[in-house]
Amino acid sequence: MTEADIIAGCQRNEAAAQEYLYHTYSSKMLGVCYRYSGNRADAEDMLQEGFIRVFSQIRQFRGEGSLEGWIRKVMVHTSINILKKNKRLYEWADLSHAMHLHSRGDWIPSLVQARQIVELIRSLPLGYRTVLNLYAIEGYSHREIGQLLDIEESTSRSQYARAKLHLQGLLIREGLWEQPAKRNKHRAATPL
Amino acid sequence: MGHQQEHIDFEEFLQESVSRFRMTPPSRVWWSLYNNLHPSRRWPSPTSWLFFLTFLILIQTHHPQKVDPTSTSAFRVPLESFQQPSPSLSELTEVAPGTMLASASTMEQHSNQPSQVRRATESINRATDFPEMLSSDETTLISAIDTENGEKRMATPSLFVKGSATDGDGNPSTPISGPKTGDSKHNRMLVQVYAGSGIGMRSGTSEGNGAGTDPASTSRNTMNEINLEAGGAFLMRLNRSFRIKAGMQLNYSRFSLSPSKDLIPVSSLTPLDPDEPGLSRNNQSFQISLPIGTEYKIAGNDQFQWFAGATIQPSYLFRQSLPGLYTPGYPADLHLRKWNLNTSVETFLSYTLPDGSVIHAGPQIRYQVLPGFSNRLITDDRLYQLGLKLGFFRTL
Repeated sequence: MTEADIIAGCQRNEAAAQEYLYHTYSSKMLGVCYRYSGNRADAEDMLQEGFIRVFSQIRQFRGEGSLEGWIRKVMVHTSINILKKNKRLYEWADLSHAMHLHSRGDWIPSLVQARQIVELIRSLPLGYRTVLNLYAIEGYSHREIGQLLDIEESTSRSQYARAKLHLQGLLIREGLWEQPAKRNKHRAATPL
Repeated sequence: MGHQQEHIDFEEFLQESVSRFRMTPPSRVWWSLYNNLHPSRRWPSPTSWLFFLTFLILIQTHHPQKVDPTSTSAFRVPLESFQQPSPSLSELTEVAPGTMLASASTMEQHSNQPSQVRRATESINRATDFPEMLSSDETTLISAIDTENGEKRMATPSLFVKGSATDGDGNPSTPISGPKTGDSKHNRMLVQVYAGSGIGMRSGTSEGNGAGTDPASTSRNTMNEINLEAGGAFLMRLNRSFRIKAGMQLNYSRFSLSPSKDLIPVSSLTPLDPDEPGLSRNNQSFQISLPIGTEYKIAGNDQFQWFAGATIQPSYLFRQSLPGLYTPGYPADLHLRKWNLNTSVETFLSYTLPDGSVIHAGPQIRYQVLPGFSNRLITDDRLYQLGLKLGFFRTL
């Protein structure tokens, strides 16, 4: 069964093809939803809602770009739509509060790096986190983010700058990220 | 320039790190999605099943036993009718064991003559089991219970007592007749609802098929399961010891499966998470069965009975989930066998409640005859389940 067969099966509303598509992408897409959500249960709701949209709109998929990329885009849009109903998305809280929240936990050392980074991103306030996810990870432009979240482009830009600075601080503190200058020095010092 | 490079470095770093992050959704997300996409094929959830069965059990437990309106007067039998001398019975009289027992217990509450009531009750019990061994006095006593104010009542016919019927005044009477409220076949029918849980073991043998380090190897794996079972059945008494039954049953199994440990060498199967091939995942299956079988009463009295039973159960796997696996070309779930055949043997103790319904409990062993997985995954696997079953019987 090729990807084209799966898409054709889903377009015909065949349960087996839908199940195959779901099992292939659900774990990755839940990871995407989790970055936007407040907790795992919300992420699962986003995932379910997202897949309903995937299967109902799959006729619109023309094969331009990868199927995974298209599904991911649907998931992100679904997550944003759900978040928009939550007013906290537009509250640009004090980032020092996020630092405080994060410092309380001692769970970091036991988790793998990818999970650690995701949890650090999730420790940011919702508005900052959403802008950071959209710009740095999904690759949206600030103009697109502005349109998507109904905010000014300049707001997106400034909030991203703050979120990034704060996240870098967290990553450095946890030993997951080195400042470029430091890294370049380290690379130069390492014998080939 | 350096600032721009830092930007790219940071975003690339984030993208790279986050792209490795995955979370396995619980299977309920898929089933909820499935129900949403295919409402016409919707199946009730296990919770709904349990709720439905609990509802059935409650109805069975609390619903008043059906009593023929003409026989309700048995609860108002005047004590005088038992104190009068009773002539012998000489004709065929139809009386219902259920009616008689109810009458006897009412007598016990109101009568000042417990010995006579006890004797009557014993006679009724004997009449139920061995009608031909009843003495004339005993049949008279039974007849007296079934008589009110000198008028004969119609009783639910299920037992034939040989003897002569009399009225309350001691005059010989004609055989009791009138419209029948049921027949003997009807009273031989029972309805049963039950539920159980247990543990199971899926024992599988994988033969080398070209994959793995040793293609010729044969490995033996076991996967443990948790099982839940619920169902209902109709039973028919063939005689005092044998009953046959047929019904419908739902079985739920949850088992942990590690693709690399339990299913390799299998060339056609690969885990969805290549980073974690040894990860065990919780898988589940829902099976609907039609158990057909027999039950045999080994020993017992009116209240406690010991039974042994066996059934064969043609089964259909209507829901299954093997998250974490896929086979190029097919969803992994297609590797579970849809139609199967199960057998079960059980033994249980039953206890008759005062309202006539019966509760029973006992162990059960269930064995799956055909492999649970198709031959492409495991050449030979078998499922054994051991559990405890609880249930209710009720006469129809």
